[in-house]
Amino acid sequence: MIRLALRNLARNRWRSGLTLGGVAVAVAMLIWSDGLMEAFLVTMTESATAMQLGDLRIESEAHAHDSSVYNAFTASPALLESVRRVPGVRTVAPRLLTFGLLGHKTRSQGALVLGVDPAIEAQASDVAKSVVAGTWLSPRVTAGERERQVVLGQDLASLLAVKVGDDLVVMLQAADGTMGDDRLRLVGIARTGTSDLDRQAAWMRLGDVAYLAALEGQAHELVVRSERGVALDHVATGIRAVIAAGAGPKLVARTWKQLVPDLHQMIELSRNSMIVLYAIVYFIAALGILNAQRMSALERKREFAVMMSVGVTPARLGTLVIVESVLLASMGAVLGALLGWGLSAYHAHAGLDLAALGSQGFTFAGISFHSRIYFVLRPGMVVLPAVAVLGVGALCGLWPALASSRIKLASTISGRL
Amino acid sequence: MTSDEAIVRTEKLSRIYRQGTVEVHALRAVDFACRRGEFVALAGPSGSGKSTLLNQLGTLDPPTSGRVTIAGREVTRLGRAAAARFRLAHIGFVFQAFNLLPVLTAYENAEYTLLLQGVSAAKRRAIVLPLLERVGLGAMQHRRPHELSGGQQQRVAVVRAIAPKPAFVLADEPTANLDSQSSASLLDLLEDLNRSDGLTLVLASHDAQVIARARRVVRLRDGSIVGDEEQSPT
Amino acid sequence: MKLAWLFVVLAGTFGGARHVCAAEPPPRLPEVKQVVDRLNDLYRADSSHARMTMKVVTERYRRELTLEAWTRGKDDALVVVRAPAREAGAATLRSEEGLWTYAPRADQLVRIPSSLLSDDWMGSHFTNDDLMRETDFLKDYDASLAWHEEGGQRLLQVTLAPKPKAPVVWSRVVFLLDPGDYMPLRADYFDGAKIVRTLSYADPHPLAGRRIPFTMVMVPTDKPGESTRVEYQDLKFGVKVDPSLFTQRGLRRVAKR
Ligand SMILES: Nc1ncnc2c1ncn2[C@@H]1O[C@H](COP(=O)(O)OP(=O)(O)OP(=O)(O)O)[C@@H](O)[C@H]1O
Ligand SMILES: [Mg+2]
Repeated sequence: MIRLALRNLARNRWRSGLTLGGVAVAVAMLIWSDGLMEAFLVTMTESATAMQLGDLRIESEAHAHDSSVYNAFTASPALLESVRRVPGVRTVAPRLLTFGLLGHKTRSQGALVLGVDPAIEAQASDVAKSVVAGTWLSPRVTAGERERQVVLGQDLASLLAVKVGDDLVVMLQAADGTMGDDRLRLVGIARTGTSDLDRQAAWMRLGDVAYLAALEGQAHELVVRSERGVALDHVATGIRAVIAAGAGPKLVARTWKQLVPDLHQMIELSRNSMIVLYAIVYFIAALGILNAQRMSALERKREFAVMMSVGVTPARLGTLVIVESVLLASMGAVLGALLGWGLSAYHAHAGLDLAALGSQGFTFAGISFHSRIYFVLRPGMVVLPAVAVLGVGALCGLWPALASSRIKLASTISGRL
Repeated sequence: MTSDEAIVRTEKLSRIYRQGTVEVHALRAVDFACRRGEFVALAGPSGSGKSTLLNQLGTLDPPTSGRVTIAGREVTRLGRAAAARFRLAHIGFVFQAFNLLPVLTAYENAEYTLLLQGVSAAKRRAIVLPLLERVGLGAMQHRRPHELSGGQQQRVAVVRAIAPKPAFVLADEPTANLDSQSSASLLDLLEDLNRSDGLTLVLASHDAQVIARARRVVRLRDGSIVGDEEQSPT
Repeated sequence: MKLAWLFVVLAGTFGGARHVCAAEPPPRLPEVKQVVDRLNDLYRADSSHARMTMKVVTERYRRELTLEAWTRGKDDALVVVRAPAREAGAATLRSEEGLWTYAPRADQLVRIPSSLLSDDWMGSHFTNDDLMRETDFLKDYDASLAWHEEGGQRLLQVTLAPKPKAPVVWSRVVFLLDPGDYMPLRADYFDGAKIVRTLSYADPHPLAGRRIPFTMVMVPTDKPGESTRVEYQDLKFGVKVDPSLFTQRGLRRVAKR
């Protein structure tokens, strides 16, 4: 039957080829645009989680409601260690967060001062990697170092017109109401890709911020990065159990999905909109297959009548037509999958230059994208559209199959219809 | 002839075609019977109902009234699928033209009915190859229909029809598209099959050459049988 | 808000007058312009020098700062923190070029950007904006007068409603003045129909022939128990103030002392 179906398809090579090509292009396009979309979404999620949020954040309940400098908690080494020992936890980074005023010569800017442990932060976030000029904070106070070190977001640095090596003044209000100030040395400039950070963030050593803000031994948040591939909700449950056992102010642990539900929703929404795109593309592919199959069934009406006359049952004939349709679709799917996979794999490797959209990259939802975007490619993204198109093929064969099985034999053979 | 010997029989078989308001009585209460081993030619002018009767005998078309009984079984009420299976088991067909599936070779076309019956490849080969040899197509078994002449195509169709050893074979104008030489050799084949293999044959034609070969000629006019005579072979 | 309250009070020239009892039948209301001009001018002096304490009570901390302040003309003002030692030398400078804060450890002036104007000043309940404002109410507000009875006293009530496009965060500011010399007793700051903070004046001292309230207490309505109390220990008008004081170098000189 498959041999017969294949030969039937081979009969009108042009039509079969065009239909097959259409299906292939549709499938390839889906795979490709899915790869592009995922690249956007992954960039978004990563710039949200990798730069700032982490996978999960622990903070005092008060800080969760009001991120004021006062709502810190004691981040004892024991607490950090017990969180780190929760299965699935890779890194736990304590941070102090406070707003301060940065000045350089006659310029000044309000800044989000982040007190971080340079070594741990380098593991917990991509900030250290995003330093584009100078260096990241050195983990230890280097000999001969006179000023406290600071790394600024790139936009903040340009607002202040400072370059690496310049001195800055920081002023911030400490938790005891006093004003702390000190001279800083700009050691690095970071381009995080998150516009909030690039415009506002000033990273300093945890100890320096703790001193200035009178928050020794305290933290506003513990940022947790999980092991790759573990279920985040699972890790969250483990962490909640650990922090519930501790003394001190009530702590809460929230995953990034809970922290930025808008982003999470937008990502979900984008994924759903891909489904709409899928539906449209499948619909078009379906129309192509349907048309081809209907035409070929019509042309072979007499042949079908002869087949049924000599004993082919209507069901068997219908099956033949469906098999033809599925074969057509599956060849298109395989071709399309190869094409789409190849193209996406290329763009995953070499990146796609979106220079047409604006040569210097662009910003969307507070996240800046480089003009060269690297595709994300997972097996499911290739297999799923290809498999789905098989279903579409089967569906499309249905109607011509039914129509063919209902041919009136006598009059069709005699050529009256 | 006695009723129990009849392989196929019609009783008061009528077929009326409606085209808008016009009614065409293609068959009018036809009683016809054919015994095993007969070679019947349905003769009559164009539009007399030959093809219509043949289609009724082959369960390709439902009658307006009356019954068709084949091998003792009434077939007028069979559904499409049941009728198809019945045809596969009992009836061979040779049509005027376009008999063969163009994508299959001569051999594949010839074995198609056996394949549908689920006969194993080896058995099919054992049955079909000698038949193809017999009709003179042994060397052409791998050709596609478009590489065969009209007469050769019809012979493949004959092999396909007789391979499952049907109760009878129906042929509607099998020679109409052939030149006289091809017609003659096809008729030779059919005659031979009837004589030496006892194949029951009912064919419709207004070709005198065909009618002359039949042992029995049933004449139709305006949907009624107007003559039924045995004749000795020439 | 149009109140450079800290500077305002320490800079005020004083229109001397006395208290009037409210038992008499309501006299005619004075003219709006006359009253508001006096409110503007009340705190105007060519120069001033003051020492004061600021006591801040919040839910989380309680602190007391000793401050020293100078003013000159309409724009120049300087406040230096003298105690506690940890913060001594910190200063805030107001000049024609805006509001600056002096970081003593870094020894540098840092301009307070307009985005931080609504932040609190030195951890108190005053905002940077309070320090920065000009003192001409009629530029940003429409004023109206009414009599107000409180505690058996008749007071003059000045209601300031922001003009349509004025850069003002309050929906309304209501002053209660002594009807005699128009000395302010209280100011209520509204957000919508709600009072969000109240500034009270007390402890009037005669100075240069006028009455100056030596105590100001700012109370935020939504934080019970919190307040900032500014008390003058010493206030002099018309003292000689070097204009170079209001530069980084001059500031450094007095701050480091
Ligand atoms: N499907 C149909 N619809 C309408 N009328 C039909 C149909 N099939 C046959 N007829 C009519 O029925 C009558 C008998 O037709 P039929 O095809 O049986 O004649 P025939 O003897 O085979 O003629 P011919 O020698 O030309 O093949 C004719 O008048 C024909 O027009
Ligand atoms: Mg006919």
